[in-house]
Amino acid sequence: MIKKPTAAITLTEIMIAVAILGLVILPIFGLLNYTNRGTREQDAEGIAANLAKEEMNRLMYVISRDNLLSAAGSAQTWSFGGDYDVKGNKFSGAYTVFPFTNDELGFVIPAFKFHDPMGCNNGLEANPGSALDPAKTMTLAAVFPDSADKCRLADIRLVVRWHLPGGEYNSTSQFQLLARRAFVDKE
Amino acid sequence: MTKNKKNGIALPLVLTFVVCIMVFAAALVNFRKESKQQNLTNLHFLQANFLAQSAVQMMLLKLSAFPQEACDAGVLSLGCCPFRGIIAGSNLTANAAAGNPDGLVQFYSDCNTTKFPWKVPGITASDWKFSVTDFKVISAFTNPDARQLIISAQTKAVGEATMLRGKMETRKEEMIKTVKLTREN
Repeated sequence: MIKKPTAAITLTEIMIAVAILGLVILPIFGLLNYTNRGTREQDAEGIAANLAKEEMNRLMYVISRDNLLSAAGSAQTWSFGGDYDVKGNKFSGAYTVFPFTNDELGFVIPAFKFHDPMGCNNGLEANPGSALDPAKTMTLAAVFPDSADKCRLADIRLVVRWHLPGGEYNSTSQFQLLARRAFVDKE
Repeated sequence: MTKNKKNGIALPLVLTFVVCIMVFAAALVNFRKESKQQNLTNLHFLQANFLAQSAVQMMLLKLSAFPQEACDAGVLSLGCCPFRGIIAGSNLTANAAAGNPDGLVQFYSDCNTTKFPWKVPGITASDWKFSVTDFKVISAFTNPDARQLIISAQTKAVGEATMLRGKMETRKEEMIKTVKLTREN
């Protein structure tokens, strides 16, 4: 007697195969959805980083002293405006400026022991090791007495937040940048 | 009697397919993790880089406020008398070995967040640090016609940002800025 070749695939076998497939495929769909959302979140985070870089560069090197300091101490909306839209994602940023007073800026400066320069042969320092006195401290208010009220250094904090379409701002999707800006005048 | 060679073929096929799918899923998860880490690295770089820029800013402010002291310290570091400056035609390379760099060290020593802490409230100071780590003269010469001493100096700044997210810990970014200092004699 010769058996039919297809007789081995039984209904039980097909049911087991389908069950295994189902067990594997269903979580895979969930995983695909999860990675898809993750990719969008990563994309948004990358855009947020780029926007933050642009904004901080503006605050550090472009915006004038008066404009930057006009609302020092309180959070200001960044230059992109509120709920800036990129690819359906919303981005929001705020910066706060914290100025230093010139009295607070007491810098250490080297002090040189005075001696007759003619004693230094051909301009070479005769005693390089003992040419310095203990360092002095001087505030910018003392250096620039006529403009002592003019701010010359300020800390900047920029906080950037974002959310995906249909989402809400939250504490996870945000980061901050800190920087210190000097205002160098030619006086 | 002929034996059936296709006996049980469905299960091995499905199991092979399942293994392939599992490998694909693992690759997907791994790719996502890598991508997330890449973003965090980028962000961490930005934070440390702006801190290094901040150190350079402080140094520029100090140089603009105390150009005379910076020049004199530079001259002394080259082994020349700060009260006389560099004499035109003198051999600076030979003198530099006998110079005293302490004045330059004093000059940059306070351009950091330890001496001038952040005014930003609510931050952990140890997570946001910057400092100027070096200041040296790379060239100096005298322009006798203009009665000027011209010094090119290089300042090195380091920004350190600590990020606990994604186990990023501390990232350091270094920045070098070259400046020209001019002193009228």
